[in-house]
Amino acid sequence: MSPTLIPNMPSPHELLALLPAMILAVWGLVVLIVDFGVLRRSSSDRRQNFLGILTLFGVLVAMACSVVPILHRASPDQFPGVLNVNSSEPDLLVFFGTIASDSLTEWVNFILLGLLALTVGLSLSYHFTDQWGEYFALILWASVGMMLLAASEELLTLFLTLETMTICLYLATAIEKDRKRSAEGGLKYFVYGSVSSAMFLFGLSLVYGLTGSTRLEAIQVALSGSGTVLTGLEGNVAAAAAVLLVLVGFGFKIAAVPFHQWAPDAYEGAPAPVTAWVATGSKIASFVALIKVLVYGLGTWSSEPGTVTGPGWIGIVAVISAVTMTYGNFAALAQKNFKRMLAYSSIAHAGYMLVGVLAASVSTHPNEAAGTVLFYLVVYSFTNVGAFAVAAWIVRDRGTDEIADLNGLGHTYPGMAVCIVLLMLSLIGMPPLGGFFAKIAMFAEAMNNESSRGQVVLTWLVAIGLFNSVVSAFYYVRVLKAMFLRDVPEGVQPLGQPGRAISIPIVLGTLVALGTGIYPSILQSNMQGAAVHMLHPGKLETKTTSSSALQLVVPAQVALTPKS
Amino acid sequence: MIEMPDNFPAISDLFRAILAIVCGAIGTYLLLPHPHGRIKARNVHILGVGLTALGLVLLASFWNAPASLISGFFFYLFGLSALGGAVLTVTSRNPVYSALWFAAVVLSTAGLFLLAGAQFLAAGTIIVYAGAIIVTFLFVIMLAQMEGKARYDRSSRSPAAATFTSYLLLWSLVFAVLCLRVPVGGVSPATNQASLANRLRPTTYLLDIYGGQMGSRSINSVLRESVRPTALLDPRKDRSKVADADPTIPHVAGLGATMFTDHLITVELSGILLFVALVGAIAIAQPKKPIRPTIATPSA
Repeated sequence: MSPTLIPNMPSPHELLALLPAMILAVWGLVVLIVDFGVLRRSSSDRRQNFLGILTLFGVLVAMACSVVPILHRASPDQFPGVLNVNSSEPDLLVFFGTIASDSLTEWVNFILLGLLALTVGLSLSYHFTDQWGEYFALILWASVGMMLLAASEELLTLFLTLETMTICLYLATAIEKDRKRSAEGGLKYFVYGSVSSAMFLFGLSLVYGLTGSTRLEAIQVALSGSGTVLTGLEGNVAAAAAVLLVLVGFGFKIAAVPFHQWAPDAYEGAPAPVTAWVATGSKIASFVALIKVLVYGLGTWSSEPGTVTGPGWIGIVAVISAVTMTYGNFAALAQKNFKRMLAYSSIAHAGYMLVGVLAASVSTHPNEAAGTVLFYLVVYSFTNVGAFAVAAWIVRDRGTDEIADLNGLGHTYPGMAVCIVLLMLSLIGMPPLGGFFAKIAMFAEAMNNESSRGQVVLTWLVAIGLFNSVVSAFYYVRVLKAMFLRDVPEGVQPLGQPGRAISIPIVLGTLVALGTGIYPSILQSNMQGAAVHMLHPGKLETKTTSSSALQLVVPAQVALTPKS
Repeated sequence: MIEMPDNFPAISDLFRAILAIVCGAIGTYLLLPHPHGRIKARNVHILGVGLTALGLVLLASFWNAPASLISGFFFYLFGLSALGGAVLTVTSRNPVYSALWFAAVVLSTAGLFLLAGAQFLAAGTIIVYAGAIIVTFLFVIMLAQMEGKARYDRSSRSPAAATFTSYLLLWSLVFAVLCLRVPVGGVSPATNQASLANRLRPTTYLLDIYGGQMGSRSINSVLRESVRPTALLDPRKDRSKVADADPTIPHVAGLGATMFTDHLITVELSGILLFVALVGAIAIAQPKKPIRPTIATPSA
């Protein structure tokens, strides 16, 4: 075959956009090969430590690759030779409009890799499986799915990355073979997940049938092509079916209420590091994809022009949001198990974030509103990784994960206990911490709407959200009560030294909560800058002339020194 | 009075559809095994079969006459044999027969692909599913040495809820189809026709919007390729000036060229997904303590 038969080789720019994901995918293979090659005769503990550090090394390499474009975008003059992509170039869709390569994907990659590093570190804290090679490889490949899910601009890619992510997470949930709970959680997660994926795929195929393309940009053009920007779903049953089925898929991934049943069991059954990764990484990636598909791709179907209570997905999402936060918080009140409590609290947080998604759809400042959702996601994720590190600590030393196992921690490890207090206060949304500013910024954006459209609905949702924040204080405070007001029970082995694997996520989560609380504007402005690409992927300018259209697509043909 | 939208189906149609769904649901519920594995009376089975058949007949009454005789004939032939094969796949008592019926389903589906003009997909389906997957199934069944019916074959858990859920889904789909459907005699109101044409947008419509000036060039080019029949895809295309296809080019090469340019990431991702699933399946299926060569046990 002559080379002319290959019309377009991927350009270096396109490959560079995928570099962190490619490093992780290959590193998963390396970990697997090392496990079955060099370490095949080693003990389980040695393999855990060696493979964990090997995995961490790969994650840090990928993180270094993902931070370069962010730094470059911040100060283009600093990297003249390494990455000579002119930052005045418009942002790009690469690989024929399937994958985005913009500041949003760079930030999401960076955040996901940071969380992944903490998760991998947390996996070294205790011994929950013998299959370390498979475990670390699955965690790495799940991250590949998440990074590409957040970057995908095309429905087929979106579905495949979503499946890559969740299949890895099903398997990682069930990897602790000594406990039946783990297999039970994994199976429940898998059964619910596969049914919802089937519905999601059905919905996507209806969207394809109704628009004629799988590219989000083309879907948006096809739906709003005749000039009417908002049509709603009035009388359009096929579109309503498509939207409902797509919402089933996303509702499952973010654990919104009618589709949340898997979450408590899967969170409780999975090993604590896996739970941390399910609760944070998959939520970030799913929310980014949700906003891209609903607010950008299917935005025309959001509501009718004048009102938001008519037929359209805004009404459905508003109901889901209200029910999700209320149910999550009230169900969490009854929990005695620490991980189940966090599971219900993460359901409630998904409800809060859906308010932000609605704000991004109806507000007159959509970018700012979407940015606050990202901001909230980041703060929520880092504090939650810290909280699940506490769960790993309990299960390591006690074998259970009850809140009562934290009794007296404030007397034995006061430093750690103070960090946990700060984490819990941030999850409630107390003033000096990141959780407060994230929540208040998101609710403020929901209220900051110059048109009257949807104002009543959003005001109600914000009111429900604030009420729920008060309710959530009750169960988070139970953790504080256990730590400070209860004594260490007699005759029970107290919690041992946390060790680096557990203390680093707790301390880092606390630092993120404090840092974003003291200087919220730095992260918030960056997230709001990145959110522009979530609502207008692949372009900064309006599509008017063919010359600008060319600039959007033809990758920057510049000398790229390959990084070695 | 509630104001009905323009394309709301006729009340008689709606009534017929509801009747079909209810009959089917009751019939299926009666046919499902007892929750505790008890034997159901023969009359109950007969009633169940009757009701399900009635539901099917009522649903079938919505069918329009086939457009063209020959293709319509083959469409119904393949479609019905696929459906019948699917029912027999899940109801056969012997797993080997199930696998063989599944092969029939696959072959019929390949026929449907062929009718839609997707020759490569038809051949690929036969080669991959009927060829490889079925053989693997048969080997697994033979090696697993199943004896008698498993417990989950003799009893069904919460049959009422299962029937309700699945028929609710079927009802919503039937309702959606009824709303989109143009009635048989061609006496449909004009609004219905117009709304249907507005709803279903073929890719050519998008291509008109995209035209030459608008939108990103890559999406434009992908759209242009996707409206072309597989047989006319040209592997030697130059993306900047999409010329008329040369029919002498073997079309599978064109399909390959499209897959590995327009859908490159999708193809690669499917590879990753399958590989991950393979590794994960092995990891999960292993016994509790994986067998490893240790220092204690001398290995070969």
